[in-house]
Amino acid sequence: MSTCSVSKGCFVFKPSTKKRRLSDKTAHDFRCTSNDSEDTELRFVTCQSLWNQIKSETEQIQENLNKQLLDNLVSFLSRSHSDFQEKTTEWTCRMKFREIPTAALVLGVNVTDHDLTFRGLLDVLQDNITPYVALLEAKDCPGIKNLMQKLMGQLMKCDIDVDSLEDEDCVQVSQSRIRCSMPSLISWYDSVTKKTNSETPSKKRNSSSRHWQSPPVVVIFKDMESFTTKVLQDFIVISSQHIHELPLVLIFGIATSPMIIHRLLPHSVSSLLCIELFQSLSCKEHLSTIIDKLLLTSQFPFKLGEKVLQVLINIFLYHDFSVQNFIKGFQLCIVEHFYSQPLSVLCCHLADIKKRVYSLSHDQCENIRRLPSFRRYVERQESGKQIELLTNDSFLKEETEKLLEDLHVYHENYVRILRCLHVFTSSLPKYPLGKQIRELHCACLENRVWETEEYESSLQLARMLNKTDLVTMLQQCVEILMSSSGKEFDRAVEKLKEFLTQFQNLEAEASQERHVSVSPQKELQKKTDLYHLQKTLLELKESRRSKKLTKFEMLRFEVVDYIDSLVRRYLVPADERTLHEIVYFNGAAVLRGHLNAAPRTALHTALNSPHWYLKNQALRCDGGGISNKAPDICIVYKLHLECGRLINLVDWLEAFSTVVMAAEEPNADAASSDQVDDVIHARFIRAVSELELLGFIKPSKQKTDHVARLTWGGC
Amino acid sequence: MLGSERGVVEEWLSEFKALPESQISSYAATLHRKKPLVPALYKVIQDPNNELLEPVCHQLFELYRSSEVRLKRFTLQFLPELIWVYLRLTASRDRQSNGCIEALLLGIYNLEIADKDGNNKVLSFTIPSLSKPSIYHEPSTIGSMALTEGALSQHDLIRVVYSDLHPQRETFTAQNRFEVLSFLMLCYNSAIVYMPASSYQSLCTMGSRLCVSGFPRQHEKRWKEHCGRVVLDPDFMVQLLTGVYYAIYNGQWELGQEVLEDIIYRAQLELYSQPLLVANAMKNSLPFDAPDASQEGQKVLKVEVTPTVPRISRSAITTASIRRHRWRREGTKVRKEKAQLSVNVKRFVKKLENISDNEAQEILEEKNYVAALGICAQDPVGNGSNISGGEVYSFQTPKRSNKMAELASELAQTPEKNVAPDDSKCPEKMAKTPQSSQHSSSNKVQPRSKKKEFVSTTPYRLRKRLAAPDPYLESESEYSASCSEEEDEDEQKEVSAVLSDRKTPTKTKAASTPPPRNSLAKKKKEQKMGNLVEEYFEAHSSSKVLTSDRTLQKLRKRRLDQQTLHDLLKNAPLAYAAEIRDLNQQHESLFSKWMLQLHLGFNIVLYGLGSKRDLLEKFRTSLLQDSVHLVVNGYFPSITVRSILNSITEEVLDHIGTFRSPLDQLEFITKRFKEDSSLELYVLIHNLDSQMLRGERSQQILAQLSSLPSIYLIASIDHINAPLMWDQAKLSLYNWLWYETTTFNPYVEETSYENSLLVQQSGSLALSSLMHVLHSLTLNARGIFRLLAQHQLEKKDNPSYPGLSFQDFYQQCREAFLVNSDLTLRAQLTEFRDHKLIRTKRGADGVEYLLIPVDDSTLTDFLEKEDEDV
Repeated sequence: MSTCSVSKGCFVFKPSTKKRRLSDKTAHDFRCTSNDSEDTELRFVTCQSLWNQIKSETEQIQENLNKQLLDNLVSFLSRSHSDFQEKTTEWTCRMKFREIPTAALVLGVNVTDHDLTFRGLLDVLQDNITPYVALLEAKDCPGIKNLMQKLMGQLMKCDIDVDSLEDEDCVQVSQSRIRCSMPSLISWYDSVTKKTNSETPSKKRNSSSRHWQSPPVVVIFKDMESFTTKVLQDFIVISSQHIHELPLVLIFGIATSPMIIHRLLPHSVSSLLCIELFQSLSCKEHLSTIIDKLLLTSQFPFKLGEKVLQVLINIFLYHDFSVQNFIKGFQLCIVEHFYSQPLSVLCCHLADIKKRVYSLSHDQCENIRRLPSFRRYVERQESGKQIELLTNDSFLKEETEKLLEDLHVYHENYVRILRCLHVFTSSLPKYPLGKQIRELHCACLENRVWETEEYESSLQLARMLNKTDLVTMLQQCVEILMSSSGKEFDRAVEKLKEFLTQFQNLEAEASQERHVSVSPQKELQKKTDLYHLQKTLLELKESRRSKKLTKFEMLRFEVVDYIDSLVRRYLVPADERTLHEIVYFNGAAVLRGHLNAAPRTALHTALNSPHWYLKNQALRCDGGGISNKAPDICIVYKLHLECGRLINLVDWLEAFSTVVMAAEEPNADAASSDQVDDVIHARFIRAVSELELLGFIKPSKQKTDHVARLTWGGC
Repeated sequence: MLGSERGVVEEWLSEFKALPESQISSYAATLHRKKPLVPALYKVIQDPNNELLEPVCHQLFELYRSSEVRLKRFTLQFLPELIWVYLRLTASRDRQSNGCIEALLLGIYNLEIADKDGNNKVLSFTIPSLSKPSIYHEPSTIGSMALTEGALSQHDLIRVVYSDLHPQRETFTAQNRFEVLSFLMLCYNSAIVYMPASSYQSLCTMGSRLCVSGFPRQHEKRWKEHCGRVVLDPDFMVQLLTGVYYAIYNGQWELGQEVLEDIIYRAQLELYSQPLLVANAMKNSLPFDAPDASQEGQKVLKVEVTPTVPRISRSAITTASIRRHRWRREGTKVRKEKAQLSVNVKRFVKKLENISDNEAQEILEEKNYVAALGICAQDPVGNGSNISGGEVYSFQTPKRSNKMAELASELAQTPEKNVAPDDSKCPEKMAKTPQSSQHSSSNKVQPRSKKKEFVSTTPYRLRKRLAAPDPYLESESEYSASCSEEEDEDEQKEVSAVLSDRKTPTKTKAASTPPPRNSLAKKKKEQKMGNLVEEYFEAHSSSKVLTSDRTLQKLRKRRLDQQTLHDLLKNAPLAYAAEIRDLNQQHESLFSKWMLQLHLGFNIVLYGLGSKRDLLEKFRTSLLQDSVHLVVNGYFPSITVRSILNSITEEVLDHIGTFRSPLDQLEFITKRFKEDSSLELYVLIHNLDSQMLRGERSQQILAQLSSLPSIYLIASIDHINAPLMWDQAKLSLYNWLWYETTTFNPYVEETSYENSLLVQQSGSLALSSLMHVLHSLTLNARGIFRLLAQHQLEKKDNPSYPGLSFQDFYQQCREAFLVNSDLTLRAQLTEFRDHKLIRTKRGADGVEYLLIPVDDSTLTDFLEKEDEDV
């Protein structure tokens, strides 16, 4: 069946025989392209399991981060209508003023992440506070009636969910028949609460004990800014009339600032609200946590290369602030890595490495030998071992296993020392190595950090730290290093502890020495003549220059030097490690192409220098120009760039035909020129209409047979 | 209706007519003494079929128009009843019997909106302010430092306009109906103190009937007469409440409470917040008991009994005074907003400081960003996105009209560089090429000396020189200024002054070989930013468009129609077929990767130059044969989201039935796909950015569709600004993976539907459809159409021909014995209109003009064909 038709635009294809490719088809796709088929299954499984782990981890993180916010909200909600339960005087007092308890939830500009937060909020509310929660979005509520309809629909549906004994049909019918209005909502609420009240003694005790007798009705406005003000105002005014019959609580999701409430609602309306403000965690902190938990652990065998990480962070910082997108990018990295790197089968947990290494095929061994980092490694070995490595598969496997374990150990150490270094650099003035640990991480991945200027300057700054700071930093480092399981850092810890005790000793010594050191200054204050003063000052200067460093300063140098040595030892960039290709994903260009594409640039390149795509010698043209043998559309485009806001089609056509005729081998036979002309005309028409489709020009009525240019300065 | 009542009314009617001018005031004083008159009039008004209704309405209007206030009030007391009858009849769609009441109401309205001098009224009141002295205080005695007179004077008298300028109304429409009625109620309320009890009663019954009739609550009422629902407006309801409020405390305690309840009921149903607020306030403030109404005349609610005239402020307000007033009010507003703005700015700055404290590093280090984004440059697999922005989006420079020709000639010469050197005859041929193009254009070939050098500005400039004596060309529009040489020179100077580093080929040079100019892009790069800005304004400053005036018609080349175009292109070989094939094969190798990524929850969007239709088709045929999939041709001119959703629900889900809105349909689809996990659907959309689908709502729906886990979307976009369709929310729903697939394939299918600029429009297709439709019609109908067509052809030289007016057309048709009444003609025209054979439009004078929306040549062809047939 063809998909071209002049009468319809949608074509559905249903395979006649229902031979469904089921769940394993993803794996099948995975297998299709990769040249060697043996490990793909395993690779796919590894990839999936890794992704699932990471996904659950991120969800966990998200939950923990939102916990604080949700707890606050829940306590607010329970507070807000506790009076309604007890019918205290305070409640009647408020009832007189008709204030609706309202929570303003400031969530930040990363709107796309809000979904997750709201989903969590819904769950929490339904578990703890009330079954009656409605989530409204601006796009569903163009008018107050739509809003009420949506609201009642959601509330009554959730009622069905709570006690499924209810005859569903009856409710369904009544829902469509009831006119949506506040009184019908109230009568519904009354009937529902009465029912649960009567039921509670008997069977529903345990389930409804979470909620009170008359739980509040929570209405969440997910994107408050995009609601029509009229709708919001009307809803607030109307519902405030009934607040004493219906314990309503509003939650506004706000992306910008709490000011917006007063911007949207006039005072007469906002005075009907009793607003409390809640602030969610900023998305940057969120990202830091994610990076901390996903990248800076040895929990996951998969690692991101420096450029990849940089691309992901940049997309986050400069484009959307969306943590979800960051995680999506991370997922893409994983898939890409396992898809494109045949050796990624070895990118697994330490426990599995041995088994997997020994089941490698000969081809895979060859793949290992082809890795650039492995080649470098081989070159460094002595000749006998070189031959072994290049010819003997089993020897290679042993060696690979060892190297991979080394790599693993390297990671663990790397993370510890990175954190230690971060403790030092994060408190330096001006943050030469960045404030966030992710910046430090990028710097360390990029190249040898100790060779950079920033590192140099930060060391200098560290040499000027005062004692208390230094001591606390050292203590932090000790804690970080102690937490590691391996014995790698036993010596380092000992050394650092030694430094600490030395500092303590210094304190004791310093108190004794103090009075000795003040003498030269004392001398200055004595009365002298000019000559003597000059002399003493010179002496003083002399002595200061050659002054022996104090013990503290000595010790400080020692500490910094020690940290420096640790850095030099452990923070070697990953791409200097052998076999790093197996674990590190470095396809930054691929990633960027997929996530942060530039369609306009691509279009421009194709039109301006077709040679980039069509590898034909005739198209090559130096100096950024364009050959006259280029495809028609390129020539037409190039010609149109020369024009102003309006383009005369006739001129354009003639210019085009001049170019094209020059390019073609002109037939000596002039008689056939008319025929050729027609073809050129047709080609011109095609090219112009293609440009129109691409949005560069549009027909214009300003002058006959003119088109308007739409890019940059067109009308 | 009883005879006696009838007699009373008739007497009243005749009485006033006979009344001399001088006795009107005394007549007004005695009018209220006629006890049976008022009930009789109510009876007349309530019965729409009464033959007395029209004279009564007329008489009431006469009374209202008279200068006597008491006569006015006499009319006004019937206003509630009149409104009720009017609205009831409107709701029942029995408009015919409605006319005189409608006229009366409109008449009163039009009288009331203007004051005596004929100016429009603005009803307003002022709120007193401390700055102006009153009987209670003197501003200067307030005294404290803070309250200086200057400070106080800022709080000027606040005038609150509660009824703005109303325009004169000739007819009731659905839009203005309640505007008029609320204003009438306002007038009634301002005179409510003078109304008799019967009027209050009728006000209350009117209110409750309007609010309740047609709703379930009507069954509780005593009156049973059937009536449909009456649409109400919140403003009108508020006015009604004002009247009812007075009535409640002035004798209509029970009726008033009932109508109050009814209004609340209605307002709750309609979700009108304003009437709800007012009505609830009234209800809550009601005393427990009825006020003591035993003493007639002692009103419980004290109302200042002053004549109505001063209450509605009648001070003559000219437009000038209003303007001043408005201006002042807006001035203060603006000032306030400014203050607020500055506060905001301050706050923002503060925030910025905070941010920069925290994350200065991240935000400001663009260096890294650029570095990271520039990674592609090292990427050997070239996708051409490593160009700096300036190169792509440079401003367009002011171009002289012959620039294109220059470039063309330059390009035409370039083969010297590329073509193999053995091509020795090349220069000669090139010298010929401009001539040949000349040949086709102006057909006046001047015998030119065989010169080797190339005349760069050829076609256009030469033509100008040649065609100068041509009177037709000389009479061309003002835009032909660009053709004159002097101007061109001037302009060139200007340009060269601005862009001094640009080599501008001067006229003298133009005669010789064009100077070897570097490419445009390179030069632009050299220019500094400052120049860029200047260029921008340069490009936008000239309001005149400097292009030549040649048209395709003068070019002696026939327009191609779709079919010949297609044939011609088919014969023309596709350039670089091999390279394009290679390119496509590269893309095809990614197919299985696409499948994988689709299954992992991503959706795929393809961009880049060239039709991606074939690529997607290949993907479909090679990988999707075994699964359910939907192909959408986005470029199809009448594609809608609805049709996409329909094909999913009807053909994929086998659902029979319709949906109220696309959102409902989407909800249904979502539910079905969530319930049945084995359901999977691949959706391929060619040109997601097409005219029909690029709307915000369509994109929202498609995005939501694509976010379903078991719907896999793969789409292509072509337009340069396509990514602007999506905001962050939609992007995250779509979850795109971008793939650059530059194919260089011609957009054959995509542009075939387009009404292309150069293709002869509505050619054979329009003609054949004309013939087809006409053949199925009667002989008379064909004759009618012929008449119209002939008339249109006669007038084809008149560019501002509006069409044939209906009356003239009817006359002609009658003369040709084609129709016998204008009804039959209209019936025929409806038929034509349904088939889009004719178009009607109203001229400035309200006359209907008929036009056949087909171009003249097709019409001529059609008439010829018709003649053959007959």
